[in-house]
Amino acid sequence: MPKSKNDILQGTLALLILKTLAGEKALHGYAITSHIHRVSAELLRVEEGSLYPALHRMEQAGWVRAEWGTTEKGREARFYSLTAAGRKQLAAEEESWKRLTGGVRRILKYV
Amino acid sequence: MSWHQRLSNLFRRDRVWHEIDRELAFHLHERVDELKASGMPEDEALRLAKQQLGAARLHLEDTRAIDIPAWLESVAEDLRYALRNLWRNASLSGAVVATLTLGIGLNASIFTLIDGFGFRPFVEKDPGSFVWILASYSAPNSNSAPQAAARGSLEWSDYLAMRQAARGVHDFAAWQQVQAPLELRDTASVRAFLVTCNFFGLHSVHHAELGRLFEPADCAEGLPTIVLTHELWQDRFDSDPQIVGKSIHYNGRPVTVIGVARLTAFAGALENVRAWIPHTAALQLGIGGRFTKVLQVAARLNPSVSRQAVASELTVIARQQDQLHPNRLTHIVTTDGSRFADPQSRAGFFFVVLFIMGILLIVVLMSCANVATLLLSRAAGRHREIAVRLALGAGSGRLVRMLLTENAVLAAIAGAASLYVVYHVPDLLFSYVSGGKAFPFDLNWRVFTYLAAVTGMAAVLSGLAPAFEALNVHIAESLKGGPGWSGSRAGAMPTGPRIRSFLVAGQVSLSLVLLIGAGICIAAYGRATLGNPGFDTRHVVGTIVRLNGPAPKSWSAFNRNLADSVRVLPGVEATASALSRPVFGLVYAFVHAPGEPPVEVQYNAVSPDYFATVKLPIERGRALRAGDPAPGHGAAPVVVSSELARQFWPGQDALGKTLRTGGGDILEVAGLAPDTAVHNLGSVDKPTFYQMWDPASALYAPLVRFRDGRAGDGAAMSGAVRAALQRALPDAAVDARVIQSELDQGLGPFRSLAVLITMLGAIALALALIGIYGVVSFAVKQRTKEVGIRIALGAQKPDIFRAILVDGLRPIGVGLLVGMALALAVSRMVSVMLRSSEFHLNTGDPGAYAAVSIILTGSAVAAMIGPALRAAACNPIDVLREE
Repeated sequence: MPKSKNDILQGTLALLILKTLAGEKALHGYAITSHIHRVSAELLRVEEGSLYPALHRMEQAGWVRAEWGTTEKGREARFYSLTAAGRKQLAAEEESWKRLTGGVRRILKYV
Repeated sequence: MSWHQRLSNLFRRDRVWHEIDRELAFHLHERVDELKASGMPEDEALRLAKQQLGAARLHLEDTRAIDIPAWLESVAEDLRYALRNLWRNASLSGAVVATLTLGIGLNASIFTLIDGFGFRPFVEKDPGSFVWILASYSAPNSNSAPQAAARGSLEWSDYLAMRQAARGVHDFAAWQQVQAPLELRDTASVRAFLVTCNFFGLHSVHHAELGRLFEPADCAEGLPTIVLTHELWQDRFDSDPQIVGKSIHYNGRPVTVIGVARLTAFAGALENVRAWIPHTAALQLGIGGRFTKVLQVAARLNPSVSRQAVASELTVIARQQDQLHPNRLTHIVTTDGSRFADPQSRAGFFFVVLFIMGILLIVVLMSCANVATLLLSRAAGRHREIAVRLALGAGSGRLVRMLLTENAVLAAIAGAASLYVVYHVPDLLFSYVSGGKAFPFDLNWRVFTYLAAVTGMAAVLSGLAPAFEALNVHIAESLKGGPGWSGSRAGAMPTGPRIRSFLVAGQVSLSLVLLIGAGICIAAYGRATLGNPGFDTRHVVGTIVRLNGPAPKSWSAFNRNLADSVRVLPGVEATASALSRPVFGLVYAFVHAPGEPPVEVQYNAVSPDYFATVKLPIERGRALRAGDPAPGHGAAPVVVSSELARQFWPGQDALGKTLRTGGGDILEVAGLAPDTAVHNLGSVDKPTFYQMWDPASALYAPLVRFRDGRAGDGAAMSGAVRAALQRALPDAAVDARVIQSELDQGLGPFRSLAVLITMLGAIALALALIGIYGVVSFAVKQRTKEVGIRIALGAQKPDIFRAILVDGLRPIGVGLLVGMALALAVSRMVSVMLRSSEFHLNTGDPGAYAAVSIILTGSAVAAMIGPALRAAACNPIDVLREE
């Protein structure tokens, strides 16, 4: 099976995570990857080696709140949810993403 | 950024990585569940999940290894992890620390002893300015190294010249050891230093406990004075507060006490000195001959003068002195006063140190092996944890470091505990061996460096095998709950058991060496105490008589009176007279057979009833009898020991043969007596001959044998004899001792040595047994599954039991063989070392080898019985259900 090019563009990981967490429920890391994988129709796969450090960076920046809890299966997992700062950041990132993709689209059309 | 922030950052990051670890583990489980839910078999799911996650983990570990803060951080993490782990296994950690402390502490303690005796300057205060002066004389132009003079003996006249002319030193002191009885009636000697009056200045002793110390006036000719040690003052003068100014006796002659001083180790305590006397009093007290040869010379350096400069200056003075003595060349060496700095004692010292450190290395290696065994068992128990870590992509180098960190922590704790040992044990050991003396051991950088080095070595040696063992895992097997030996599938001998067998064999062989050493010592001690000395030592009382004053008019009458005075005592069975006591008063002489070189032998001049009195039977020929001539009047009949006959006339009949003494007397062998064995730890004494006494020429002290009924009451026997002699000679100094009690006393130092070696051997045995027990019980645990299957297939319990024992015994057998070879090599070395000493150990004693092997094998089997029984008793159903 040839490996599809599904690496996430640098800088978009934070956006994807923030957007995933924008729902009401707190999610653990595995749920975040599954969500992105599923919703992107299996086009995007988050590297675990990047996800967790990114989550911790975002926690440090105050965008997300993290808490150890128990899953339905009784496993210990760390649950993440958005903070107010996180919602603001999500808005800003969505805005800049739109501008970026808009710019890219125009260039693609022009040629 | 402040240090504080950096540090807290370090720990925060550490916490973050730890949490990520936990999250990744959770992630792995979730992924496996999902894959399983999609219908994949569990192990396949696990493999796939790990493959995916492994890359992530490796990525993480890599980024962390790159920068130095991260490296530091990982060390901190390892440390924390290690501490947590050790705490969780507290009992195992305790056992490891105790074992290591035993090895390290013992080792460092003995090193402290060696350091004290070898490298420490023999002075208490300010060793930096101390200079020891060693002189020797040779003929000029001789190429041979100067060796004629004994260590440090400097002619008195040279000493005086140097003290006057030398500008580089002060407190240039000289001293010599003498011994003499205190009072007229004492027979025991008291040791003293004859000193120059600056002796106390040299040793920085400035205050007397009572009275005063020597002043220059004391060393001008005058009244003999003495400074008592606190000990002598206490023991002999009941701590009399009025002692200063009183006249006491030394060597039976009057001397005035001017003070009492504390005895320090280097001012005489090590030499058992009990008083100090100015050298000028030597003549009046009749001791030490003239103070012409001083044995020890030392001084204090003046500021900014080096020892080398002092040597040069003294050599110049010595050259001037040499001009007064044609045919003489003086060699001056200066040292810091330590034994190792003295060129003459360096070589011998080095050899002894090497030997002792060799023994200690064995003990340390054994405790390392033991710890390695203990940790190996745990390493196997951790296979699953290690497998998870490896699966998560941790590099194996990183994991070795993590495991070694645990060992380093254990060793560090043991090292710290050893510090405590080192502070206390050397004093105890020295006091035990020396019979209560104290030595000022100082814990210096050498001791600490050594301690650190041994601790580091122990950490690495005891940790490497378990660390590699722990990594030697088959990941899938371990995670599935299998044994996890990487070799277990290939069918090859797994590495783990091989390391363990090797360690057991090593331990067995090393403890065998130590135990054989102990066995040889015990055998020698047993022979010396229980063996047959060749004559009756338990009922015979030997005497010492020393006259004060002029010789009697007739020695014959005197000797007869002396013998009569003890013969009438109740319980006396026989008496005799002899020139010297049979054990420690013996005299040596050179004799030669015609045409042969002279040989040193011991002899005694005895009355004819000597042989019957001490129960020394005549084997062939005849005993001496009344009317036989003493040597000096033609051919004199003598009785010789079997050893003498063997040495002079091997394979021939000694009776009727003749010997010549150095003085030209002719001795004719009239009888043969059995060998005695009292001097050399139960080995046969030197060649001996007994000649006829000459009662008219000298004092012959009586020997008394009591009837059996009084045996066992040595004090009563010797007391009665002493009292009788004192009644007969009110002015003389007399003493009486049962011969056996003198023998026992002479064995004292050897007994402490034997006890020490036996103690080391016992420690080694205990270590080895713990190791064997650990290995076998672990092997049993590992084989539970196999044993369960075997029993299920119909194997009988005795078969299982036997199989476990045989497996356990194999490395022990190998260890015994290797140990035998080692012990033979070592004992050969020791016997070469002892050849020139007075101790004769039977280092090839097959009894000791056999006994030790049996003890070792027996206790090893005993250690294995428990685990083997457990294995045989296992219930196959339980075992197989566990799987």
